[in-house]
Amino acid sequence: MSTQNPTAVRVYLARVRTALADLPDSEVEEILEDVRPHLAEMESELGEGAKVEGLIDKLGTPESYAAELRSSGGYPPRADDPAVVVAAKAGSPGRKGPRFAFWGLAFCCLGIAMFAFASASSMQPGVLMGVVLFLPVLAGTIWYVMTRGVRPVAELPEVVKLKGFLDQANDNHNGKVITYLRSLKPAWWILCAFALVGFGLFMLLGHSYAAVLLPVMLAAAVLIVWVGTRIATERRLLWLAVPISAFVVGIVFGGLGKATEVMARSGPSYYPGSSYPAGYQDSYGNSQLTYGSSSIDNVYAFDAEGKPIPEVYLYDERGRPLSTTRYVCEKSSGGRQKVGEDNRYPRPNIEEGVTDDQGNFNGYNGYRGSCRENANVPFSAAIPKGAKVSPSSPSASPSATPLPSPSPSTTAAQPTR
Amino acid sequence: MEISQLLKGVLDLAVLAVLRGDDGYGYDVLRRLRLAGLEEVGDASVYGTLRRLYKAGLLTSYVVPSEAGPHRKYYSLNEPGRERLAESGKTWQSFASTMNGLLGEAA
Repeated sequence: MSTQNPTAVRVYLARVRTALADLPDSEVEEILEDVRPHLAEMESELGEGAKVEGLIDKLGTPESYAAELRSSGGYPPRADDPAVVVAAKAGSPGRKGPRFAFWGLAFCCLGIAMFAFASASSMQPGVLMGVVLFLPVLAGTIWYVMTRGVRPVAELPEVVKLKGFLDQANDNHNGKVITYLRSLKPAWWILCAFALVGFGLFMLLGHSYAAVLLPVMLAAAVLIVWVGTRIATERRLLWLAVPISAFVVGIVFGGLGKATEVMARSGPSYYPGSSYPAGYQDSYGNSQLTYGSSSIDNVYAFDAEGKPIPEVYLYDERGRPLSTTRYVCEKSSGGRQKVGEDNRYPRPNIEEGVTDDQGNFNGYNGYRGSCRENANVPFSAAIPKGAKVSPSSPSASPSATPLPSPSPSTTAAQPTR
Repeated sequence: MEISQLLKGVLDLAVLAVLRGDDGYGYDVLRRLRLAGLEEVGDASVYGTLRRLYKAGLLTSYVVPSEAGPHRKYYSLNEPGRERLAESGKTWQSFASTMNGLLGEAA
């Protein structure tokens, strides 16, 4: 059956399509829909293992077939013979402009998508300044297609090859995949608009200075919907649609990444074996302490008189030590260095800075990397009077138990209340 | 005289005529034309003509899935198409009778 062995039809149609490449895609698809059943029938008449040569014998070359379609269908003749263009030297000066327009667009889209991803996954609108870097290049490519049109770009050997490759893949499935994707296009423009506005609003939640971002996102949303309605007839709009789509892909993936991270952190632990959600480890793979959403480097304990307790060992409610990486000063380099991990707190403060020849720390003439440890408590705590005894509170009883492993959460929570 | 030369002027009319009775997909139209005696009609010309008539609003189209092979896009004559067929048909009749008269005298 012709569907099992569509090789000859596929090759023939791909060449017809290439010869009609300057016509709107939707129109070419309509033409090929008329032609395809006929060719499929011809191929099955030719029998098993039909070659494209067999079709060419009956119908003439795909190029002449395309030319006949053009003249009878009232389509404009091709400006320059495609055979001449393909044969032309690849590096000829006429190629530089279209190359710039094509690869510039590809490069910008990649960059824009990456910065959009980084911005959405870190929730930092400032990262979007990176996108601005690509705008001059993008503006250059837009200027090129506005003044010269898309035809020089469509005739680049790499673009022709890419198009031929996509066409073959398409004809493999009798055009169903592309037709299906094409039917989703209107939904994509709307999705883009929602994603852009949603992103702008979401950024505004976390950062008030993102207020400047929202109008830009709104404008982009309006623009993409407008572009979506006109892109079928105006291929130059690809130079707006593709970068905005790349941006949306970036923020959607970045946002999804962020969302899964947030869910993994806030939800109950799905992995009974691991006690800490991923993402809160330092560079040595040790867990870090967090309070709310901020990470904690050090913990100080005070007794009821407000006297600092020089040495406490912290455990969680299941008796697991809250161990973190311990650092000391490394004399030769002047930086801090890991010496192991434990759950003893407070840690000495490690100050990294510079010294001069007199040994003055962080002086004007300092040049040598230096590091010093400070075991002092950097603040004093005022413990509210009367807070230490709370007879009515049932949580006081666990602290009275003579267990060797203290339950810090209950006792520590008491004085601060 | 080359029939293909003559066809160029009347292919529109011929295509409209074969779609008058029954709707047909591209290959149907081609076969009907051939069956009617227009052996010289080019495949691609018929498909191109169909697209042009469709874009001119004289035909409507609908897709019928086929259990074997690619789906088929049927064309049917709409009201403007029928009007055009009647109009062009009249023009052709008068042209043909003029030509016949001319040739009758010459013969």
